Amino acid sequence: MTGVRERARHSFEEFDWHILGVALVLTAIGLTFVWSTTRGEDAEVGLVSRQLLYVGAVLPIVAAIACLRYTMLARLAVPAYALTLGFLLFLILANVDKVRGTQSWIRLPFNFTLQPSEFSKLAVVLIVATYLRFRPRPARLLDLVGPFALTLFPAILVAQQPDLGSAVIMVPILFAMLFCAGASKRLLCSVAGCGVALAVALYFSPFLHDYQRVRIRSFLQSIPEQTALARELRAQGKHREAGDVEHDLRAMKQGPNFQVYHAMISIGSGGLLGKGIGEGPHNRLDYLPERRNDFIFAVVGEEWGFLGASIVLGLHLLLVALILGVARRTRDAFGRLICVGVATLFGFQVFLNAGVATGLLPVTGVTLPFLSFGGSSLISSFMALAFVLSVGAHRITVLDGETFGRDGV
Amino acid sequence: MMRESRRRLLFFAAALTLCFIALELRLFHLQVIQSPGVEEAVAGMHRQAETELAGRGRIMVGDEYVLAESISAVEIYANSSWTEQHREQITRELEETLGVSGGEVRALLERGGYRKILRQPLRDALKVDALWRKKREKKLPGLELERTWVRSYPEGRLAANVVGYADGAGHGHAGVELFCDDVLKGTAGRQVLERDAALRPMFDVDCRFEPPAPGCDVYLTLDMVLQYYAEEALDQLMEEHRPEWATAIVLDPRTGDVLALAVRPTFDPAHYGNYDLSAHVNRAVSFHYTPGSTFKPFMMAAAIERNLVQFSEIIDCTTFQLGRRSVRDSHQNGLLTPREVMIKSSNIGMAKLALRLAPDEAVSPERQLDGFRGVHTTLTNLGFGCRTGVGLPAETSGMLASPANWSRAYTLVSLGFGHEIAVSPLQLASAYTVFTNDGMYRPPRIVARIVAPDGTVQVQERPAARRVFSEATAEAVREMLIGVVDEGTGKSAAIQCRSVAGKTSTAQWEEDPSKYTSSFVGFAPAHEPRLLVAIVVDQPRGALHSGGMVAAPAARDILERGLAYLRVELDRTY
Repeated sequence: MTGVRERARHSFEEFDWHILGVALVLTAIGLTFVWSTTRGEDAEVGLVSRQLLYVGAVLPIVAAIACLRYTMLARLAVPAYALTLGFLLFLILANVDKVRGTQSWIRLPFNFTLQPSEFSKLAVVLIVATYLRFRPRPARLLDLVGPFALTLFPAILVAQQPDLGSAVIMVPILFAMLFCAGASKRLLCSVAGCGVALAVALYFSPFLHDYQRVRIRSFLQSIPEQTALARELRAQGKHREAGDVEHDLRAMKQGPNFQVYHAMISIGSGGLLGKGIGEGPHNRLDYLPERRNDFIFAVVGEEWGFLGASIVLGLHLLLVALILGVARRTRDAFGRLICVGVATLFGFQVFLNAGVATGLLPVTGVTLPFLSFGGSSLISSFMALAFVLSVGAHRITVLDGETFGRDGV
Repeated sequence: MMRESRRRLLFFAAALTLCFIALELRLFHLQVIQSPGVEEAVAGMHRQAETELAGRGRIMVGDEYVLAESISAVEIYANSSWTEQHREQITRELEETLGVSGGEVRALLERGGYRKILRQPLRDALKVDALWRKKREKKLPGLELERTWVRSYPEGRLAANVVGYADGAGHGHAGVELFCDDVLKGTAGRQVLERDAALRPMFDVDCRFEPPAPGCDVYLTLDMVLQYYAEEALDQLMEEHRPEWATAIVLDPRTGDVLALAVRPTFDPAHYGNYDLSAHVNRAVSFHYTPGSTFKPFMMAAAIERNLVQFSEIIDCTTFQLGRRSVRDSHQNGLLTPREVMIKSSNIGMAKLALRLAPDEAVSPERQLDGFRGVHTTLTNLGFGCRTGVGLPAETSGMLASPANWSRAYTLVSLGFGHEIAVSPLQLASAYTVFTNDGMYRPPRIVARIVAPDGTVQVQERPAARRVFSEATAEAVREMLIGVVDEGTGKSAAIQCRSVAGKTSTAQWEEDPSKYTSSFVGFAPAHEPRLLVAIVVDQPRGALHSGGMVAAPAARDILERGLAYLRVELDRTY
């Protein structure tokens, strides 16, 4: 048995500084734009320092997890999964206060809040990886029941909050992990096909909230409606002196088209180089709803332009590539599956977030990893990163390449 | 075997990369290709030019009478999305400062949207001050105060048709308010404001405020005492004779300045919306009518000027037949001298005199037309057929046909007793200045001067007078007009111990013989005139309808009280 100090030294030597570096750069960009969105408000210093506090708090956790031999994570998976389910069930049963229309937050002392759905994604990655690690490659439908049950149960709980974005993201995670675990392609395709059919059925079922249905519909109807909205808005601005202008800004703010419309305007008006940090009128004048959280990419697009937005996307892609690189170098199935799961988590979340902001995808409401304001998102992202770092630092050096008999997929 | 797992990883990485490439393409489309269009669409969204109304200039008479002024006021706007958390406080503060009912304010705040708190702008100076103070002390969270102006008319209906009115947005719509709108209105202030999504103004961004420049004050030539007399005389006349409309004009006969101008029906400029549009009209300048006998002195003067009248000659005024047309007098006359023709207002006599102004067509058509042209020139010089340029909007030029279109047989005859011509009451009154000014015509004027906010005075020069008749001609006709009041149709205009000259008219409507327009134009003292009064009464409905009975007494009232007010010495002993 190697001592703790020995193990720490080993972790340090094998530590993948590139991955952490990219994540920290993204975090720094995130802090810059959180500052930009709060300029001129009373909360200016508060929010940035709060986010800094989260970063400060999460880095020791990252170090600790990275020092941990990642096989320990398999032992932690079941309790973590159970704990997450407990939290999600608590949210539904305790009927907590709604924040921004959803019951996703648990209030903690000192004005902190916890968003279990952010952590549930990690729990799913861990539990699925743990489930699959010693099993032969899934070839029959029966083999998929376990992973699907483990994933869909928390996904449905999260969707009920309703936090559609976090629920949706679990599906590609599951598929990517199954795919890389060597599941039969035909099987996966047919399951996906059935899933799509089921989704169409779900749309007409009573399980979906009305506003979610509206979001989907509004995305399908899209652009002409948005331009009409813009014209109306401008007309109202001009007739201000007529006084009795009848419009309900709040109702408009809740409309999904309204959010996307303004996000698209922000990004579009950014142009090639952007308006400069803190200078984007759409951000500064509070036209962008949720601009600190789900729509921070729109602020990046407005203030840093095409170039800045591309840099952010590029850094994320680099991060995903680095993680997949770790996966490639790891021969152990568990470690590789964790890497694939985390890479999917980051990659799809970025795709969803930026896709929504640019009008490519319907509004789902996911955060942009490392950039969006919010402790739960930041901490869970760094923890996911720590899993990968741990995998990278504790690569099991095998000579025969047939450990656990699972490598020969 | 190892390869398969790596291939899958690679395939997965490629799929993710494709997603990112799709994002990049979308970004490129939005930010590079569509960007200019988006910029254009957003242009008016954040930034809007807003104007602040300038204080409108005053309309003054002398330095003591204010006919119209703009009072600084405040408009209160509330946007429900700003006031949501402060309803209690706002309601309390407004209740306290304005004394409005809290329930009403609360109901408005709860209705949502962007709206005015008060229906009318707040103009009470003390309350406005209190409001601004509270705003500075940040006691009115979410309320926006906007400076505005309320037009006030302290003299009410007095001279309302001259003053006109301006609407809430500061645009003049009638009277001097309209005619002098350009000088009165000033320049609105301009400010480009950035507003956030809740329409809250962000003053700290791009703050370049061009303050509004107030308008100039307009001083009128009116005399408010005479105006008051004129209004009173008209009120009495309206009560007694219930005409369709009536107007009284008082001119300074030496200068042509309008001293008073009253019109019935009239309106209250402060509540102009409550009145019919016909009450806003200044009929003294915007309407024309057939003058009838009040026109005779000009034709008489034209004949005298051309030496076509012997003062001692006798004119047969019993009957007059011209082709198929016969001219009649209101009562049978016999043989009359020219002076008696005027005094008794004989249409036959005037017709015969007028015919002398041009030779008969049988003699020479060319020479007849020359004669017509001469008469036309004289009438044009008297201001008929063209606008007086007094300085009021919607002036009529009256109707005077050009000589080429005159009826060879009848027009001169008709003109002799004031038919086949239409004049505005002001045209007629101004034309009478030839008799008070020794043959010189004085165009009327109503705006005396314009004073800029910085004190610069711009005097409105009187238009140049022009000679129409010789001194002797004017004197001769004036003597006749004295006779009209002393012995003729205008006796009810006579004032004890004062010499008054004037002419009555009772013009029967050609299209409806049961209707009349009665008028009187006169001036006093006759030899050194200080006041010239014209009264026009349309369709008097009482027992009396003649100009001598309807219009002359009103003119006398104005002249008598006006001369006393001006301390003009009595010039007669009887």
